[in-house]
Amino acid sequence: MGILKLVIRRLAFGVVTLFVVSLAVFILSQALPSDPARAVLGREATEENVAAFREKFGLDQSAVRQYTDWLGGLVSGDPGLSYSNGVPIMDFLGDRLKNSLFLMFAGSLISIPLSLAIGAYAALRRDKLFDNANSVSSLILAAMPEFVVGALLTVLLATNVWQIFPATVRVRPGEQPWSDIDGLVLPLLTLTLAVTPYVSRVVRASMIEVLESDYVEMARLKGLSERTVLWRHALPNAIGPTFQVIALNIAYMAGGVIVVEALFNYPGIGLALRDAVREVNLPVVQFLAMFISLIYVVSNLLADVGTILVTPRLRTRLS
Amino acid sequence: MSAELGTLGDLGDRDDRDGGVTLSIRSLRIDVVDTGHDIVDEVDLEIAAGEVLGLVGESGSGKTTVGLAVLGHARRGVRIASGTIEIGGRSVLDRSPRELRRLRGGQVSYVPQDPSTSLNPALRIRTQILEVLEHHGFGTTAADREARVLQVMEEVALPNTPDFLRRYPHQLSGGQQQRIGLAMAFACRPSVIVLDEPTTGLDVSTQAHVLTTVRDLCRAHGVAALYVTHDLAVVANLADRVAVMYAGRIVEQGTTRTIFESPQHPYTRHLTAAAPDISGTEAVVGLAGRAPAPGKRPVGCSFAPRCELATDECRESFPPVTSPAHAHQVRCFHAGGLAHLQRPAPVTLLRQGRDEVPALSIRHVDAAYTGHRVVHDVSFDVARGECVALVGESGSGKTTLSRSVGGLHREWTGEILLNGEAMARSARNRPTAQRLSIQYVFQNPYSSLHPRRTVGDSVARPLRVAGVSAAEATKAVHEMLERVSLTAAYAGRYPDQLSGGERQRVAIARALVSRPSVLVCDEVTSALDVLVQAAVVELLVGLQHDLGLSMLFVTHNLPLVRSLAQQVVVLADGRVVESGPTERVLGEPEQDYTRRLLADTPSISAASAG
Amino acid sequence: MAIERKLWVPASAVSRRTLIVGGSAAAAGIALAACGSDDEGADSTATTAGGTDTTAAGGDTTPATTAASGDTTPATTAPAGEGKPGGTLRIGMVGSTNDIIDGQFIVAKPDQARLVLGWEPLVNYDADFNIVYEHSLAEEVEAKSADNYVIRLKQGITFHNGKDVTADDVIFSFLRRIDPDLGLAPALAQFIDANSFTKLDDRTVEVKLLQPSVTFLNGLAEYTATIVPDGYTREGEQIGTGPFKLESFTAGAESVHVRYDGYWGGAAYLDEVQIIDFADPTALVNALTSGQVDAVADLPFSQVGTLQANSDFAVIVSQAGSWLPITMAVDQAPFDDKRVRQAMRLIVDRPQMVERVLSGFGSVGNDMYGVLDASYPDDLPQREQDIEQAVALLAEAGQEGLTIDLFAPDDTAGLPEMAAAFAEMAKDAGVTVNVKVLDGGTYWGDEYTKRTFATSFWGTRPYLNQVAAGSLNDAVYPETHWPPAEHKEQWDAWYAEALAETDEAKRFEIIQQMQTLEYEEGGNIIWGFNNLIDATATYVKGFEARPNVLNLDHYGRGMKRVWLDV
Repeated sequence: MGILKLVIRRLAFGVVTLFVVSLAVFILSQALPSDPARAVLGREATEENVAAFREKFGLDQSAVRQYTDWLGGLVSGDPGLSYSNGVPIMDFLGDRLKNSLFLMFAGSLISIPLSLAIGAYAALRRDKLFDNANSVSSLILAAMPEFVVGALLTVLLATNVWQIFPATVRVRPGEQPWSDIDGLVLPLLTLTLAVTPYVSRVVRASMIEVLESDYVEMARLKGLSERTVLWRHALPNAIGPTFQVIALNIAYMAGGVIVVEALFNYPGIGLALRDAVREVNLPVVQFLAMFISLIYVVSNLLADVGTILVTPRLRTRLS
Repeated sequence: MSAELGTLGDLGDRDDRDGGVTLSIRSLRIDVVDTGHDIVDEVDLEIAAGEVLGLVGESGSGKTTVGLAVLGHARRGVRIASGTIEIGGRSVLDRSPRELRRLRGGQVSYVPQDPSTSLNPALRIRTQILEVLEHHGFGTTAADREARVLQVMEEVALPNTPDFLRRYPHQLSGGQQQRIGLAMAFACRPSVIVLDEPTTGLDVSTQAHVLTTVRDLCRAHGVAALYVTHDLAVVANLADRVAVMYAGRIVEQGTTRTIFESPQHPYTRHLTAAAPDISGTEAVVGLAGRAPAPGKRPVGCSFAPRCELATDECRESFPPVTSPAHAHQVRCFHAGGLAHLQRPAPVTLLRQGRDEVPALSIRHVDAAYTGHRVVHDVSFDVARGECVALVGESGSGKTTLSRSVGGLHREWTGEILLNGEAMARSARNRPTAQRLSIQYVFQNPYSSLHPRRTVGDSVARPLRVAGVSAAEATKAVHEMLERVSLTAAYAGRYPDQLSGGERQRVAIARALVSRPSVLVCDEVTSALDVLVQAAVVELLVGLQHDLGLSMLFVTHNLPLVRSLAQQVVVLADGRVVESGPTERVLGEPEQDYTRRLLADTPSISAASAG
Repeated sequence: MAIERKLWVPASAVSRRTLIVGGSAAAAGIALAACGSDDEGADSTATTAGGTDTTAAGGDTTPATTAASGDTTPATTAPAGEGKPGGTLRIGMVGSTNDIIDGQFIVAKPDQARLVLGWEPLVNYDADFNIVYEHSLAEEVEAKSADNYVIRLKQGITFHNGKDVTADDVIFSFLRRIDPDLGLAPALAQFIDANSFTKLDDRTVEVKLLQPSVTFLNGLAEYTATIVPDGYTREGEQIGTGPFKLESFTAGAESVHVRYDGYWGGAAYLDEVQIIDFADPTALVNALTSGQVDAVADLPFSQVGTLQANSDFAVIVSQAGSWLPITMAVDQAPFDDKRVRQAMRLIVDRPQMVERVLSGFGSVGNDMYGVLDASYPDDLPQREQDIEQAVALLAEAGQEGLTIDLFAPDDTAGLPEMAAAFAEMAKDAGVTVNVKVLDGGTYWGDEYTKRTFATSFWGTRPYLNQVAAGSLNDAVYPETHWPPAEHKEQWDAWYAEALAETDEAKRFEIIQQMQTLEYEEGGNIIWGFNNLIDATATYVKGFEARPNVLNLDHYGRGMKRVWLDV
């Protein structure tokens, strides 16, 4: 029950955060120098065109009214109409949201266990070959922006050197994002290589700290098998501190997919966001900003709750 | 079939639990893998079943390393280089990892120093006890093991209700945690147990309970115990025999009585003279210098650089073991040469001029910590030139109170007068003169000095803040460094180049440089080894005497009080339980609480007399 | 620019401000601009069926394949003839969620391909930019006078739903384009209204223009001037006459087009064509290289060499007629002195501009537009850099050591580079050019046509159409403020005369005088024209390299002759 209370409290905090973000997003877009109607319609548009545009998108209302309407729409799942084609945003972004979420989810599903395994193994084999090799390679990978990693992978595995995997993903309209499994290999590999070095390094550090801890030494001195020492005594304690980093990386992926999506032509929000920014399509930009914020808030919420669940000291404090 | 029989059946090679030698260590050498420098060398120890051997030494002497070696364990970067360790006649060091695991926790178990970090925070205590039994195949059924968990909980005097067993370590008090450590250690009925300073950090009453438990369990089950500690008083009360380690070697070994009554090695002599004793009447004596670290140890006797008796012979070769009496070994060319150390008489300043305005006056002070009231209506005075000891167990509110006096804690009401003038709650709101006139020395000398600032800068800082010129400040700094038995050369050093004792001296010098009238010392010796502690106490006594300093000395260490304070204020649960002259309060306590506290405090003289 | 910004229709995608943004290269933007010109094509006076080849009746004559420029490579894929039927052709293009499908309108490049696959105009240009009936629906367009035309459809043309194309569909198609609510081709409304049409029979329509326009036929040749079925809407069923019928379309993702077996010109080889949207030109090339698409439009310059070296791929380089001018306002100091304008034109090293701005993928210009038009004055001497002469002219005009601001927008690839290159060249003549790069919104805003010294881009237009667009005082975008006051009377007279002149030779004579005047004194510095660069896998057959307005050989004229050699 304690945890429920905490979740509710954190949720409330998340809602407040989102509210503040929404305010910031709205104020920033209000502060843009150009009149969105003019920007979208262009200089050929007549006064009537502009007036009609402003009326259609509620730009003739007061700023407060615009904000409350927008916020109300967001809350009720209707983020409004796209400036560029007058279509409800969810109509053409729905599938893209799903696709991006899938990419992030699949990327997390691969990279997080992998990071845990690599980090834990490197910690166990500290200063040995695997650890050193991993340390060097993860440093190199961490130093490379993901578009470089992605481009290298493409050259290596899709276009110039070997042609093993497709260089681009093709998710056809109406199909599920996993329909092009071959095509997903490189984007997921890129995301994995972007995230795993960070997370695995944190896992390694956390694991080393735990392996050096008194209670792990004590577990060995109790005669427990290495397997028990590792799985029962070390890992559960090492995993808590990594949750925050994992959450950060999931949130980072929300931004990282923009690059990866462009590289591999994956039909997600990244491409939509790029188009929207280019076209001053404010409703779409605002909606996607809120969506990415939501991912930040949710992943951090999950990390907090996860940390608490695996940390009895925190968990018991709640009840 | 009882669980007891089942145990015997399961753990085959524990044949000589009654009589004979259970643990035998011969010529043990443990060194650093990378450099080959010895951590311990030439260690010979034997412990019989049912016997408790106290292994005494300062931090860094290698006593924990020896303790861990008994379980065939060496920490990262360290290896057991040579020698033998046998338990029940079977070698420990020759075992395969698998055999070692069978040994550890089963036949030989370990009680760690700090239970708060040695218990897995993520596992319930039942799991942590039960897993030892499971891994060592205790009993024949799960029910046997469950029964043993309940039994061992009883043995360590903890509740064995399901509810209690479901707790996590952090839900237990420090004493309870250490009992869980004991329960895990005794669960499989080991024949050898290594206890590594298991009572460090515990309140005296808790410590007394834990020690009683240890003693009873070892006696009752015929366990050979190696009790590693730096606390002579504990050893005096618990151990049958004592081995004294210095810089990786055992320098003296004998029965507890022999060691305390007629120590032959100069180092042992110094150790006993430096240990404050609750029932003793003598002041503590410190010793300058520090033990050499691995790799910096001299060819000859490693104590020679600090030894009054050292001769060229000592510096050329390490003395061999001699046996001045039955069951008493010592490694010194001049064994017995240091008969008695000159102990200064305890300071017996009488409380002078009661009518004078007290240097520090605490009037009806209530203090809270994040909203919780932890100090209730406390009033007492510190007269000029007087040292008042504020004693109490952890949680008694003594630190909160002292921090309130020092202006470091704001959540208090009432009046604190310095030389008759009321002080603002926070140091920030106090006038400079007042701020300089009351100085605070912190518990931990490792964190209280700015690591990037030279000693000279740190000490000069209060003066510079007060606007004293650089030249004058430097002069004062040098003077003050001399005063705390450091030289002016220390002014250019950084804290990490200093030992703990030296840092605490620097911290004291920093406090004194502004010529305060009141010094608040918050557990200033608790992080220090006994010899260093004695030296710091000596210093404070001298300062009090020479400078007419008034002191509020906060401590949980009752024996120390006798060497230092004229007045004692006993605090419990934030209230003054008893106060008065040291002799009276410690000699004829009026309150049950004080009496119990004194009774729980281990006493060297009482033990060796008894 | 040609495509009008219209409500809910993000013409922004192609209009001035965003044209080349994010595009792979200047060429992309220029080519798109070229397409835009079409919608304004019908804004001039009439002529007798002036096109030289207007008599050529329908039927699939193979177009000429001569490359109009030395830079263009010869045809890279085999010509049609004995193609293998079947298969799916996947074409990758840079597109976005703003893509639309409309039989008569586009906002972005992929829309062009989709339109060409499904819809056809009444007449067409051949490779020499003469108006022909090939690949188009009219059997004949008879110009009875400059403002009276009779359009007769070919026989046996059916829509994708099997219905015959009739005069009613033609009339509907014209009226839909001038529907003010749709805003597809508003300029056309100057010449026609609902009363302009008379249905002579089922496949013959007579058109009476509101005012004479010699370029009416040019208007009919635009690829967006298609015939849609009566009642067609963008939201409704997508029915056209083209070789492929739209099966599905998702903006920013893809469209699928299936072969229309009842196509009047004979069914195409391919079973299916997919136009796949890519957000990023790099991903586009990668997709081609690793086999996810069979052809791409607008290959980035940087990739041309790599793909040309790879025998698995064919790079198609076609000359196009779009251009990036530096514009001088002829009525503002210092450009109100023609010697200063002439000096500026002599400062430019044209080949170097082609190299620097187009990476060499273009042809050198001669300060004259309408390069693909039959009236283009090839005989005018090629102007070359002449710093000495420029310095002398400036001195004469009292403008030695001139300092001037040159504006460029940040949203059009090539323009800032061009301005910077010009500034460097100007140094040699002692002219200090301060390049001012403005954000696109500001640049194309209120000040756009008011600046003294600026940069711009234009698409492929016939000469007279371009005059209407940019070289009249009341032009759509009077960037150079041409003509200057001293020539206004003469210029306007020439223009009116040319529009009214139905005899081509006579018209060309007038045009030549106009061209000469602008060549000598005009406000545009035109240093070159771009190429269109596309690429296909070599197994894709049927694309040819030739002067073109649209990529991929005018999208294979609906892909009817394209086939897969697999």
